[in-house]
Amino acid sequence: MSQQQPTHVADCAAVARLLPLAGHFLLSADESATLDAHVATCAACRAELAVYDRVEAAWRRTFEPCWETPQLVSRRSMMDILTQEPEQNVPSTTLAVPFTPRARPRRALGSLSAVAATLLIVVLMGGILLARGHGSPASGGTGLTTTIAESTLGDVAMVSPTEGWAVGGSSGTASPAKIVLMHYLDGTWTPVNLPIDGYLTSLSMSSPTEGWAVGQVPLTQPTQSAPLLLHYDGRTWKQVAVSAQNGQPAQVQMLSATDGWMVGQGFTQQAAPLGDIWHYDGQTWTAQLLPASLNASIPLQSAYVSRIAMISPTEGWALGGASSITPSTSFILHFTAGSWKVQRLLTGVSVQSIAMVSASDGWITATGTDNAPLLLRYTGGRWVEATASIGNGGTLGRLLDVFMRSATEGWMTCQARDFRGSPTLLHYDGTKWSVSSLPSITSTSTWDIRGITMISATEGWAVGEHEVKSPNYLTLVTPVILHYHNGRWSDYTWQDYLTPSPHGPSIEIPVG
Amino acid sequence: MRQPVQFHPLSRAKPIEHPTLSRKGVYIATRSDLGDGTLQWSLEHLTAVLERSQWELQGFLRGIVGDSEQARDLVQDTCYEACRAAQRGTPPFGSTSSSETDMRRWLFRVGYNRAISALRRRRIIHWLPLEHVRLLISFEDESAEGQDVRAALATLTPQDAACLTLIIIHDFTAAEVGQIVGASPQAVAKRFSRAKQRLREAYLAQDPQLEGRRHP
Repeated sequence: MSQQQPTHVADCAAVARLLPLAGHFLLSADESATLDAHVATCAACRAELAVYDRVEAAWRRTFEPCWETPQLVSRRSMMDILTQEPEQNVPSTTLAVPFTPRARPRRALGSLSAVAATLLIVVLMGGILLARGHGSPASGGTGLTTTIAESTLGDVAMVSPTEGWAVGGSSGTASPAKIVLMHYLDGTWTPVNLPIDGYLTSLSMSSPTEGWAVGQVPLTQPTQSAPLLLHYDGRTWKQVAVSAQNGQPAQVQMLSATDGWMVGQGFTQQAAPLGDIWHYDGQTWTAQLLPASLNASIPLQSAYVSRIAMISPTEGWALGGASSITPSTSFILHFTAGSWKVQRLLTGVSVQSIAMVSASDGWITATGTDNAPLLLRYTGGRWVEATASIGNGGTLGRLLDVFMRSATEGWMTCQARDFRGSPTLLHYDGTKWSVSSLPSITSTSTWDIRGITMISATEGWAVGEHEVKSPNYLTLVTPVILHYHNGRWSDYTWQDYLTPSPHGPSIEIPVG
Repeated sequence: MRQPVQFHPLSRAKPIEHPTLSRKGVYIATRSDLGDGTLQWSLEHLTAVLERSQWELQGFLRGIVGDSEQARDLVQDTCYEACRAAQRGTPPFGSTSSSETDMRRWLFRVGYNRAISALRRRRIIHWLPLEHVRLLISFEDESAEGQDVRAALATLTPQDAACLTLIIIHDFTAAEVGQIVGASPQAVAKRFSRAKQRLREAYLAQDPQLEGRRHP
C-alpha cells in the first residue's frame, strides 16, 4: 500500500484541477471518466469534492432567486411600453434619456410625451451651448449636453472666490464614456468640451494658470484602465502622456507648477509595478519606489496607494493597502528626507482618506473591524484614534472623505443617508464633529458628495452625483454642485449651468 | 394610433400553448400557435417571460453588484430595454424563430453588461482599488453563511461571480455563459474553476474544522 502512495498522490494532483468543474458538464467524457474512477477509490478527493459541493450549495442558497411580490416591473407597465408606437426616429436610448434636474423621479414607465419633452429639452440645451461658442467644431451641442446631463463630478478645486474647476465623467449609456470638465467663472459653472474618452477623478490647481487633472480610460477588461493626465497652462488643457500603459490614478496634488504628486494603482512600468506613487518635477512624471519594507507584509504587486497629503516639498503622507488580502491590510506612508517610509501598518483596517492641516496635525478616515467607523488623528507625532470626536459613530456608517481647511474647521462625508436619500456631512468646529444640514435635492432617490473645497470659512463648493429614475424608467446619474455660503449649503441648480457667462474664457482644446 | 410591432394581437392568437421546461423542470414559457404552422410570441407571453425572469435576474445581478437595491434598479433597466427592443423588433424579441432561451440569454447579457458598467462607474468615480468594489457595499444577509459568502464574494471578480451564478443556479452551459459575459467556453470554464477554488479557500479560512481536513 505504501508503495502505491506516490502514484496515488500523483493521481490526486492530476485530478485536482477537475474537481471544481465536476457536475456541470464542463468536463470532457475522458476527464469525467478519469475523475469518477479516481474519486471512487480516493477518500481524500471524495472529501474535497464534498467541500466543493458544500460551498456551491451555500452560493446557491445566497443567490438563488427569491420570488417576491409585487414584481419589480409590472405586467401592465410592460404592456404600456409594448403597445406604444416605436421610437423609430430615435437612434439610441442616450438621446432619448431626459434630464429633468431635481425633478421627482417616478417609478412608473414613461409615455411618449415624456420622450418628446426630452428631445425638446436636449435640443434646446444643445442650442444654447452651441450659441455660446464653447464647443469645439468637432462636437455637437446635443452630445455635449447629454454628456453633462448624464455625468458625475468627482472633484472640485477653486483658484479664487470667482474661479474654479470641477472634473468627472459621463455616466450615461453612451460608450465610450467622456471626461467632464466644468469651469466656474464669475458666478457661473459652464461645461468645457474636451472630446476625450475616460473619466477624471482628481484635480489640483497650484495657481489660476497652472493645474493638473488625472483619471483613467477604461480598457476592454472592466478592471483595467489606462492613466489619463491633463495639464492646464492657463490657456488650454492638454493631454499629457505618462510612461505607463496601465494604471488607475486616484489623486493628484500639486504644491507648485514644478512640484506635484500622483498616487493610484496598477501602473506597470517595465516588469515591476513601481508606479503607485509618481512625482512631477516640472518636466516629467517619475515613478517612485514603494518602501521595500512593505514587502514583508504586503505583496507589492497587489499594493495600491489611494490618497496623498503633502504638507511641503519635503514632507507628506500617503495611504494605501493591498488587494486580495484577508483580512484587509492598510498602510500609512510618511515622506521625509527624500524617501517614503512605512509609518504604520494597519491589519483589519481599510483606510479611506487623509487630510493634513500642518506637519503636526492631520486626520485619517478608515473602517475598522466589523465595518465600524474609525477616525485617526495625527497629534503629538503619532496617529491616535479619535473616533470619539464624531459622537455616535455607529449611526454614520463608513467614514468616507475628510477635507480640512484649518485646525479648527473641516468637513467629512459618511456613508449613512437620511430618509430623503441625502448623504451625511459632518462639520468640525475645532472640538467635535457634528452633522451639517444639507439641501433637500430629492426625496425618492440618492445622491452623494465626492469632493469639497473651501475658499474661506464662510464659502466653499461641493460636487457629486445624483442617481435618479428617469420618467422613461432608466437609471440616470446626474451631477450635483453645492455652494456653501455663510453657514448654509444650497443646491446649484441645472439651469445655472446654462446661464451664459459674459466673461467666459477662451479655451482651446488640443488633445494629445 | 397605437400599433404593436412584431407581435400578434392577443385576439388573433389561438389558445394553443407550448410550454417548455428548463433542465431543472421549471416552467418557463409558452408560445402561441397561430394555426398556420408558425409559432409567434404574443404580447402577453412576452410580458409573462419578462415577469418570470425578473427575480432570476435580480438574484444574478445581486451576486455581481452585491447590493439588492441596485440589482433591482438594474433589473428594471433591463426589462425596460427588453420592451424597447421588442417594440423595435430587435432580435431575439422580434424574431419568430427565437426561442424563450434566446430571450432569457439576452436578458442576462444585457443585465450583466449594465451591472459591469455600474461597477465600473462606482469604482472609477469614487476611487476604489481594483476588485475591492464590493467590499464597501451593503449586504443585508448577515447570517453566518451569508457572511461567509460575503467574504468569498469579496475575493471574486464580478466576471468570476457571474460565471459561478449562471452555471450553478441558472443552469446555463459554458457556451451560453460565454455569450452572456463575452468570453469563450474555455475561458468560462477557467473562470468557473478559479471562482470555485477561491470560494472554497474563503470557506476553509472561515471553518477551522474543514481547514483541518484539507487535502494533503
